[in-house]
Amino acid sequence: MFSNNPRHLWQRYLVALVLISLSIIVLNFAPKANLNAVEASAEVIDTAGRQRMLSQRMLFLATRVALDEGSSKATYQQLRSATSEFALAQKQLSKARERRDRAAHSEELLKLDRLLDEKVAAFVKIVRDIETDLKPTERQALLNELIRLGSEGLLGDLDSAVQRDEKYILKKVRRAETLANAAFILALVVMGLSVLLIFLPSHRTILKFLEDRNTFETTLLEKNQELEEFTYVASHDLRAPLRGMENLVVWIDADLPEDTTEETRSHLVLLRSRILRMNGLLSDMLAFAKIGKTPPDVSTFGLRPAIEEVVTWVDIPDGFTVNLDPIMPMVTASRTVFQQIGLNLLKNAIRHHDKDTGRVDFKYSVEDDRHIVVVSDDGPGIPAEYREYIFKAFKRLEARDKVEGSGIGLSITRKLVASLGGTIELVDPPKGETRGSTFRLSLPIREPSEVMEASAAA
Amino acid sequence: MTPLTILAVEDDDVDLMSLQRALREIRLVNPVKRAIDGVEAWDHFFDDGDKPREDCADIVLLDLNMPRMSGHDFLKKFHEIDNRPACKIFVMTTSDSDQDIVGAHQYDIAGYLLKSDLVESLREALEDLEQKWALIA
Repeated sequence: MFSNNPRHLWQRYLVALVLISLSIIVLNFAPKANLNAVEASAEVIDTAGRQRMLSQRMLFLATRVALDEGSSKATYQQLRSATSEFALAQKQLSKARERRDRAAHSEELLKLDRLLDEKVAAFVKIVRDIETDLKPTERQALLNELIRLGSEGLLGDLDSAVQRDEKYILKKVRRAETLANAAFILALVVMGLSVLLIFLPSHRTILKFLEDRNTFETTLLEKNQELEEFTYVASHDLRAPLRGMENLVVWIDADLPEDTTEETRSHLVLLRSRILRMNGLLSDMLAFAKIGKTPPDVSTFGLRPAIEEVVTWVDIPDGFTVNLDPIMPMVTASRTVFQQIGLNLLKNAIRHHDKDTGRVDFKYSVEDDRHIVVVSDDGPGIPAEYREYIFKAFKRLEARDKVEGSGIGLSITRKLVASLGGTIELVDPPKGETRGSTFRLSLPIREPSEVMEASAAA
Repeated sequence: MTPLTILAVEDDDVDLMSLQRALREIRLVNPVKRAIDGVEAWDHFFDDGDKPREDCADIVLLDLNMPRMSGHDFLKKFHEIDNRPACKIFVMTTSDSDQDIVGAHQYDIAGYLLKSDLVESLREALEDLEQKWALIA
């Protein structure tokens, strides 16, 4: 149903969220619906209670009127107002009860309530009739009728009506309770299901993912370690016999008899060059493997002096000039790594140049919050289709015997640049130039304070 | 006065030839003995494993990368013996990392010799030695 990919865990969580939200909504609204009805019913009971009180008061007042010929107007007034209130109450109750009974689709209850209405109407009529001037006998008859209605049927019916009201309320309350319980159980079930179907599997997925990652990391570290050892042994132990070979060649060459042919001598020269080449290759391999292993010595240094120093390390042929931008800032990075990069680029520019004169320029600028160093020359240049190719390890563009070089130089350079947090690429020559290679080096601008904190933490 | 003897501890024959030629070039004609690894070097200095001998070399040129017992192992064991014979040990290195590693252990060595430039290294080393011994003598 769900994928086990950690990236898709959000699907599970979304379903869980929806289910839990639904549970909360049901839990909240279901009982409330019934409790609203209960509230309405409570009002009804309140009114019914008052009505009951009124009916007794009416009876009492009516009796007083009946017994006392000379009843004061006041008593009549009280009787009249009590009767009005009573009638009003009945009207309210009648409406509410009718609504309720229709909602419950109960014909029986409707009938009962209508019956009560009629009885109450009759009662009220009688009370109102008493007020008019009547002959004592008629009045007495009415009163008797009133008392009979009142004490036997009406009060009882009023009570029954209230009982029905109470029963209704109880029913509603119980239903609310049941719904609340049901909703609660539903919520528990949803929680349980969520945990079982969603959270536990998610948790397991995450753990498994972490475990796989761990295994992967461990394997990777092991492999790395193996590779390092292998590289070290390979380059170190391979160079020992090479050293012996070179020495022997030198000694043989020194001891060659006078009449040795040119051919034989040239063979020895070639032998020596091949040995040197192999040594160079191993040297480069070792250097490549070492990059990033030693912690960098970060410092804040002047860019220009650093490059000037690099220029002194290189044997610049006559006819070649190296130009540096006059204004260059202070930079926070590893000075040795930066100089290594500069050295590689400078040596490359000179080595691959096809003329007797030439120039190599080091230019500086700032772009997008980064140091930009552009190293360009006026050599033969590199065709655009090879711009990424040249950075690959061991890839060369010229025949081995035309230009010495393992092909590893630029890949080392790129790795070194990466260790500084920067990028290097071959770009189009500046406007107006038709030939030459232009290397663009982009380095992050670091504050010296960052470095202090980093080294303090280390 | 008997001339100082030199012990060359080197397993590679061609490297040994290099060493001999270098010594010839700086006109050092002292007798040179050879041990092919740390074990042989040990036997040169000690009888029965731990009894110092009398007639051992005064100067030792010690290669690091050897079978059975490497230069490192030899140095470690040698320095554990308190009554070891007095001699000046020069370590022959092929790279900077060799120097770092050996230096890190702070063995009592007289200096480093770069295999890639034996003649110069030897010359410097022996000039240093001469000065030191001149002071003592």
